[in-house]
Amino acid sequence: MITIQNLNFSYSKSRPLFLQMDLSLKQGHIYGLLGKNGAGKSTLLKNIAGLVYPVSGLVEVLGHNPARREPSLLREISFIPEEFYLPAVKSEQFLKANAGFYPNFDREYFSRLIKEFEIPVEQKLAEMSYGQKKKYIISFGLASNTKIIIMDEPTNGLDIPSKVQFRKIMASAITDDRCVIISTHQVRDLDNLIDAVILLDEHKVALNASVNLITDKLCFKKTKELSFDVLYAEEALGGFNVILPNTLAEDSKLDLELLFNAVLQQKEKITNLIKVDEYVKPV
Amino acid sequence: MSNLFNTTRFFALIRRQWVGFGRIYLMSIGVIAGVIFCFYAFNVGTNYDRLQNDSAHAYSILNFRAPLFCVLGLFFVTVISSSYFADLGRKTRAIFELMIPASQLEKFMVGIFYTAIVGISSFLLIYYLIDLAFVSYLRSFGPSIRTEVNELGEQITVEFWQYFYSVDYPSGAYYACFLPFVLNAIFLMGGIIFKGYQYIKTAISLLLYCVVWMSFFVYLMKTQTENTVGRMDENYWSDSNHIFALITVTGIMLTLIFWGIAFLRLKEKEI
Repeated sequence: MITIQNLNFSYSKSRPLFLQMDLSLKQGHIYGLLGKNGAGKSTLLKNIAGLVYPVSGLVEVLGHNPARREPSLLREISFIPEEFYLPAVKSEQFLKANAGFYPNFDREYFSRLIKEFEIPVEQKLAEMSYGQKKKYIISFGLASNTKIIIMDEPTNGLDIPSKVQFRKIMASAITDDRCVIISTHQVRDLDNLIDAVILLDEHKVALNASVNLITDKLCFKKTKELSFDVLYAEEALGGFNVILPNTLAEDSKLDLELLFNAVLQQKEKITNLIKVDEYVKPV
Repeated sequence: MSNLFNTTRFFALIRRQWVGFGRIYLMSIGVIAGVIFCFYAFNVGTNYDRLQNDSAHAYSILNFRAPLFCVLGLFFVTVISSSYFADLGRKTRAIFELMIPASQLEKFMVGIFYTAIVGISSFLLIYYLIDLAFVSYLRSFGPSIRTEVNELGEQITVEFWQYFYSVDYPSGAYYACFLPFVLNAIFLMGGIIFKGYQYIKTAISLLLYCVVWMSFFVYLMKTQTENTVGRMDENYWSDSNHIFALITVTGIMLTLIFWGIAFLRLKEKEI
């Protein structure tokens, strides 16, 4: 669905952001895109959406080059940026002006989302609070029924009930022909939502693996003492949060924050354990 | 469905752009209408006594029309053109604009439609309507025509309260019709290229460019004509209309070139 090969990108010649980056994203998944500040999460999303152009390399989305910004591709992409602007019009007018560009736009579904998010549609969009605007634009993006949904920090500005609603809605929005990419630094917001993790570090994709694969290979535990086979550990209340090789095929819940820190500090150790097959290309 | 141009998408885009651009456009046209109205009202108001006593000889009060029409018209076109793509300079707005599923050609053509076609024609309409209203009012003060004998001894009818749309312009004036279009192209391009303060930056760039070219031409003409004697030939270029025609052709070519550059810059726009 999305293929990136040998991607080189930089805003200035002296500071490359991506070097020979490879990435492959498939339909039917919700990817969580993680990385440190400045790792290039938003820029990667912009490369996929064709909002910036790579210095070299291939970016292919649904068989198109996104840099060409062809309508046939654009109508299959919903891009929900971190910062956005909504005009001073009412929802109905906004829909009339924009929904027609998305052939699969589902007004009924949109109304359901608006109701679920409790957005006051009788109000002008520009007069809504930041959180309400965010929920409105998420609803519009989802109701567009595009094959690719790109979300940059979607939970920023959402209150706790809205975050719960967001997770619920996103979980129900995923279909077999859709690919959702969510970039965030608030990893807790992605708990129980994503089924694959992409981690950016040092100009490359440090990790691209499904949650199942990660929990097959690694075991996330809380222990009182550190054992010899611990791959990564962090001090916690009354012990340690640890990552161990899952040699006993134990069931454990993925701790995204722990994994994130582990990959940043023990990259080789962790990524070598998660064997590259379906998702990951060699780093 | 073509990825280059589709009429359904084009008209949908015209409707969509009205939501964002319509407000700026209506505000601008409202301000322009107000300025035109004030000029007419001021000049009529300050000459009210003269109009009542001798309206047949007060026609000079409308002498401001041609310069006002030109200056205000060109200003309006540049403001409208500069603001149309100004959203692309703001990250929060630009992403949504670029991601709208329409081709870059359609987006650019809609820009031309609103800034050149709608902008120029609505200015003409507003100007002519306000002029029509005031001139009709002025005509009510007394006769609007008088009979005179010209130098050939013929009796002619002179209309001194002419509507602006029916004024006989000098033939050279028509050669300047390219001006709003070339300015439209330049300010559209500036709106796309610059990230903020597009109008000021484009105006300053244009000014600097004109100064450089004018200085270059003055220098060139000076070096070419220094210590030479002027001679009038009956050649093609001794007819001023031919020079005007050349300027018009150059202006049209420049318009097309700047529109082309603006389109390419729109295609390459990154956020």
